[in-house]
Amino acid sequence: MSDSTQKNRKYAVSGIVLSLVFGVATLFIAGWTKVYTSQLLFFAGFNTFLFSLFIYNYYRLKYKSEVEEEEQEEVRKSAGASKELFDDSDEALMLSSRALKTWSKYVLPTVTLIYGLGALVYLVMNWMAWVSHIPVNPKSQMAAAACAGALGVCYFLIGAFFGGASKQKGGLGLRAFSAWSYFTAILCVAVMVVMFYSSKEYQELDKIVARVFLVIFMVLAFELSVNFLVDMYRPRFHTEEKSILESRLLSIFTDSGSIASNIAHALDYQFGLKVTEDGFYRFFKKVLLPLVVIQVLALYLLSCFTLIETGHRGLKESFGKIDPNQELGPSLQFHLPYPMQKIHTFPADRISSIEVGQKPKLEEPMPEEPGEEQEAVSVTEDIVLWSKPGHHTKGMEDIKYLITTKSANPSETVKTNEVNLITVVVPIHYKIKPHEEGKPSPLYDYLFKHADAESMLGAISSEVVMKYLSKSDYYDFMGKDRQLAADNLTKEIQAQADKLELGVDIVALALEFTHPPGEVSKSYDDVIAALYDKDKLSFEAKVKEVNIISEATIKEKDIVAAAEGETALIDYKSADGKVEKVPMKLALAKEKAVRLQTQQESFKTQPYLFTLINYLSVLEHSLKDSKLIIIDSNKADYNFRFDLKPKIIQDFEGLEIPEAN
Amino acid sequence: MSDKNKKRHWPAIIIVGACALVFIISSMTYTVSNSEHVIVTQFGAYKKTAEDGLNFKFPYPIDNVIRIDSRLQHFERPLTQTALKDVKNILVSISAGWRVNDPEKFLKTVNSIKSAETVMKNVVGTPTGNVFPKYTMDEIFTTDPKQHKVDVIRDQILVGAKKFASKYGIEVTYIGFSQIAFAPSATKSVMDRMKSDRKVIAETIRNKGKEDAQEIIRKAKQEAQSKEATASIQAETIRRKGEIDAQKIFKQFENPELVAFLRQLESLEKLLNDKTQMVIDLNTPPFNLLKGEFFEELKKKSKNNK
Repeated sequence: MSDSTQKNRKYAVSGIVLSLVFGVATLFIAGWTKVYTSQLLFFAGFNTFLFSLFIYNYYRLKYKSEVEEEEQEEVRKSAGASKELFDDSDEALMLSSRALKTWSKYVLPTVTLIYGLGALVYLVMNWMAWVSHIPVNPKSQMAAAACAGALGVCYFLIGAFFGGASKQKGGLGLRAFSAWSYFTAILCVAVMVVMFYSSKEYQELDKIVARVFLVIFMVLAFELSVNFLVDMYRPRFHTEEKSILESRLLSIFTDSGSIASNIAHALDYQFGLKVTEDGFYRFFKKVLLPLVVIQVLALYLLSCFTLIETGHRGLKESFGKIDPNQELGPSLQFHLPYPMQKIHTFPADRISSIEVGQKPKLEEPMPEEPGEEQEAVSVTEDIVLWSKPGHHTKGMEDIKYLITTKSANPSETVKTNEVNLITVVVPIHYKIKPHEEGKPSPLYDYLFKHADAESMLGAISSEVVMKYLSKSDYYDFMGKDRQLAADNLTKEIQAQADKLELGVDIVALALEFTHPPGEVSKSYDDVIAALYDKDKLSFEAKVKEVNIISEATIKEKDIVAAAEGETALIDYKSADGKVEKVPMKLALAKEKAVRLQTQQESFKTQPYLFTLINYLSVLEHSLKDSKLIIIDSNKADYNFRFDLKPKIIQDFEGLEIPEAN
Repeated sequence: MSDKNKKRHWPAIIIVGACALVFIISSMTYTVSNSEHVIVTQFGAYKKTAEDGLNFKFPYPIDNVIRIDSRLQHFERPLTQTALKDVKNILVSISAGWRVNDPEKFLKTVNSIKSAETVMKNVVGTPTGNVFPKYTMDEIFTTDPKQHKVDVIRDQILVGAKKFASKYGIEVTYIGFSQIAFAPSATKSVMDRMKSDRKVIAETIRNKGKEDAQEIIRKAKQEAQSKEATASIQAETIRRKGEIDAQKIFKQFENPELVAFLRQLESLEKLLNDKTQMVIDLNTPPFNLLKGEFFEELKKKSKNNK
């Protein structure tokens, strides 16, 4: 019995135990982190465990076969018979050897083919599922990253151990296990990196890493499924061991020598080209180490050069110490290599900006007044209204500053109270101050005197704005003093920044979106609407005024014209036939007078008849269409009473005339 | 070992030697940047605070270096409710600039920059709670520069914070109020009041508009009346002139009864029209004919004449 086989069998058992324990750990990490890459890690852990089972079975059968062979040999020796006597029965009796052959020749290729194809299908399905599935943002990333790193170290140690074991006699079967352990270790590192950067900004990294590994897995699965075909056509020495589970791609971890050696051996292994004996390969192997060393040295020496580009400025650090009075402009700088000297560069001339007056929106905003806002928001997306929530920057809400009021409001009709609310967004543009020779470097101040100069600038700007508003008049600030306020704020922020040695110049400051809070802005809009309503009423009154005056003018003219018409000169022919120009009224009077004279004469002759005739003539003419009720009042017995109360009608028609008493 | 073997291994020896040298040098030297304090401990006990630049030490675990950021740190205390002298409550958000100025004390009492966040809450919070109740709302929000006390409050808090922080090896260099606000319920009330203010203004403007409109119409009516009256007067004047001439003619007539009769007839004609409804006595001519008396008399007169 071979000791090495027994030893390898024991290694395979330990491989099962270790891969099971760490496989459970990969399952735990996958469940914990829920990122794509960790799902693949579990798949790799599972593969490692599965392969350890295959490898164990191989060594188990091999061990049994060897034991069997040894027993046969013992029987043969003790019987003292010639070898030929047992030859016929050997094949039939050696069941374990036959089982090993069957396993190696049929079972293993079939299983790998099925498993490889199954894995391929599983991976393709995963690829498709990831399009719609959005991973949950992981919690406790750093702890998960640490666990993944630790697991990676464990897998690496397993890989190294079994890689060494595979180099011993008969240990080739362990090489596949070693290779998969190394690969799982690399996946652990990938998970660690992904978890380290797993925040909202770096979710893309997980997708990219996972997809890269998924493609590698697909290639490995494909290779596994076609491995037995490739193995059939591979030229091999009769005594050479074979490891069907081993991947040619993963052998870069397990084979001795470099990647080049692996490639060369792979070519040898696959096609029998004897590349390893080629002159170029030997030369390549001889000079590669020095080449790598020189390359590493060259890379290291590159740290002696620093290019400070246009718009950038630099500070030289020598053994950790920086001269705060010395700045370097755009140029190529030579210095001692890292870590002795290094140059910090910064785009000092670039204008940066911060915004004061807003804060990240809370998950649960303050309860808002219903009605006003809803109404105001029903406008198109591109119209910026004060009442529109988040109209400045999405995801941010306005800070409601308190501001005082000293006087009456612009309408000068209503006195307002002392404290009002106002929102102001103040974009502040700044850059690093220019450096003056012999004076402390502003860049040094900005980079090395403050842990976070920008947030400090934001803090002092917020304070200056708040303080300025606390002593400003609401209406002055909203109106005439806006530019003055911007100038004063610039000066005050600059003064504070200089006091704190921030090293920045305030380039520009603007007061944007200065308005009452969105919740009340509709009330302010209503005042504007009221002004227009007032104008509307005024215009309507003026229209009425124009109409009244116009009508009056027409009437005035009519009256005057009528009067003037009466006095207008007309041609009048008198009774004696004389024609003269006389006023119309006078002509009428004259004509009336002439007629009256005639009537007077008639009246003198027959007064009764004249009056009666004229009287009746008028009645006939005037009452011909009128409705008449004639009553005989001389009969004393008749009394008429008309009760008009029950029927107030304009017409007497239908009026019941009561019976006479 | 043969010479050939020695020659074969010298690159490895050089590499290993170089690595060892780098390891030894790195374990015995350290650099101190301008932006940090470096404390050296020997077997865990404080030994010294290192100067900027390259320094030497015994390798770990004899000497150990602890680095503490010496740059100005920014601390932000979120909006916190604070009482004022006039029993009005406000919310104050305070930002502070602080740095480690006594690294040894800081290391012993606070230990790290991250832990200092907790200390800074008290460093800023304690004097804030002490100073604000001495002032009223009118001293914080006022347009009167003499009455405005925000700078005074800030300076007093800075003094208090400096004193507090010195116990921890921290120097507070800056205090500022990022925001002063009312509690949500009070903020809502202020907004309601602002809305009411606006409502009053809007209604005042609208009412003024109505008044102005009425005034315009009233004046227009007055002007129209005036125009009408003027025109009537003018018309009367014109008529009067015509009538003076006519009057001269009418004066010639000697029978005023006839004129009165004719004028009455004229009026009657004008007043009566097709819409008139009249109750007329049977004695009124010509309806008296209906009584037949006239014909009786006429018959009698005829008989008498015969």
